[in-house]
Amino acid sequence: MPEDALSTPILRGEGGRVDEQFETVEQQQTTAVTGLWVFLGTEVMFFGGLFLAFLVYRLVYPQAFIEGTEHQNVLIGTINTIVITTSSLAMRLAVRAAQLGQRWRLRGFLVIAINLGVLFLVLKGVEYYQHYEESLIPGHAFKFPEPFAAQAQMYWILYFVATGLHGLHLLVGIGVLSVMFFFAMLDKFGPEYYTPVEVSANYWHFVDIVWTFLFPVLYLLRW
Amino acid sequence: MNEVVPKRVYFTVWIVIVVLSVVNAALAFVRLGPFNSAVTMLIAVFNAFLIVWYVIGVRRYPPLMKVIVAIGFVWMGLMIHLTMADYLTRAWSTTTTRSVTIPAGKAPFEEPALGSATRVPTAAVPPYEPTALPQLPGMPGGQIGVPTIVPTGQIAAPPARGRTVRIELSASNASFDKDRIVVPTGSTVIVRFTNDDPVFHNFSVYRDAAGQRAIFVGQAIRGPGAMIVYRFRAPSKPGVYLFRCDIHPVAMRGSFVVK
Repeated sequence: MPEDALSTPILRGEGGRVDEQFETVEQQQTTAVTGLWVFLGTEVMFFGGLFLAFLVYRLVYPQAFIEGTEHQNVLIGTINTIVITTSSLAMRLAVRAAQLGQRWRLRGFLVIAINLGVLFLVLKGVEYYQHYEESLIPGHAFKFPEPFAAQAQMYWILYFVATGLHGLHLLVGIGVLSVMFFFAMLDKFGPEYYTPVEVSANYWHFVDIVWTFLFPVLYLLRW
Repeated sequence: MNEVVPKRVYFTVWIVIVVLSVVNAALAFVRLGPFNSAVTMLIAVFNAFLIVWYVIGVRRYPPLMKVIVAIGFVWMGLMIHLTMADYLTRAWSTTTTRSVTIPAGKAPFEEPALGSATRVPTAAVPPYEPTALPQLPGMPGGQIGVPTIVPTGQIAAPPARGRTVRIELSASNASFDKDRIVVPTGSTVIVRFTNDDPVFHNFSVYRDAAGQRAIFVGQAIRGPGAMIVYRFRAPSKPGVYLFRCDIHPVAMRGSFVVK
């Protein structure tokens, strides 16, 4: 009897990097990326609901929301936009380095991406502290000039929910990227296998995209 | 989707996004009329498209995967579209704005104290009945069965000898039905305000065009079909004052003329 083809790991070369249900590395990677996009589809709906809630309230209380927006620090917001965009660029260059088998560049770009993510959260923390100083945190201590205190509080609730959830996603992303860095130090990735880096990068870009909308919606709609 | 993309693609996208974000932030402080929000959001959508298409590299995906990527966004578009189709059309009505005239002498509601407002429950508003409409000072006479129509811009209540002026004011589709209200100096003004929008509106009068020095600030009500009666004393000094809805001060404003 010939060797059982089904149990033979024919294509499981490269240290078992192609799982048995896949024929090629490409197929495995395409499947992984597709799976990520299905997840990102749920994320689009998730944040989409938040944006929709904001849109409805913005139309119902335009003046209150404009007055709420005027308390935002656009300078920090713009700097943070550049920080997260640069972090996104570094992560994409990390994927490219993995594709080309450049180990040290891969590690370096991962470190840059992670640190810029941390910098973003730090700057966001500075903003939160400013809001705290200005008594803009919804609840008992919330202070806002009449006649729109209640409506403006709705703006600040949506602001904290949206940026808080975005921050949480960023925190998860920093964790994922740190794991990638750990594997990169162990030389797990190379031109023939870099799917985890690609998938993590796409998640990281998505977090960037969410901010691409949060920044104009929360900081720039002033008219 | 595995080919190595030249670095310049990523750097170009990065520069474009950074420049556009800075421009976007700067534009927020420049008045572009009704285009501010549209330009702001268009730039955001364009930036997001660049990231999805070039950085994540969806342009190199096989067709089926492009469809999967599109599904989430299309679905979100549907959600926003259908929700807004509901929210934005709630104020629409097949009938014209109701005009209920206060019967002379017998008000269906208690007249509030000066400078205050009384909320009239919707049920308390008498249904429109084709009875003879009493001639109010300065109001165009109503025919039986025909609602009184006061065209926008026309004088709603010109100076009358009486010390009390009654004004009918209504709001629908985020605009008042009048942009000019005329009252005699020092008169007692009773504004019967109907809000036919599903959002809050109020009626306030200010000394200055910027709306800083209030003469009277009315309580906000939410429609459709809500009604409130405001009562306040008109300034004794003749002049053109401002009336507006404090919640929509740009779209809903007019001249409050005292003479």
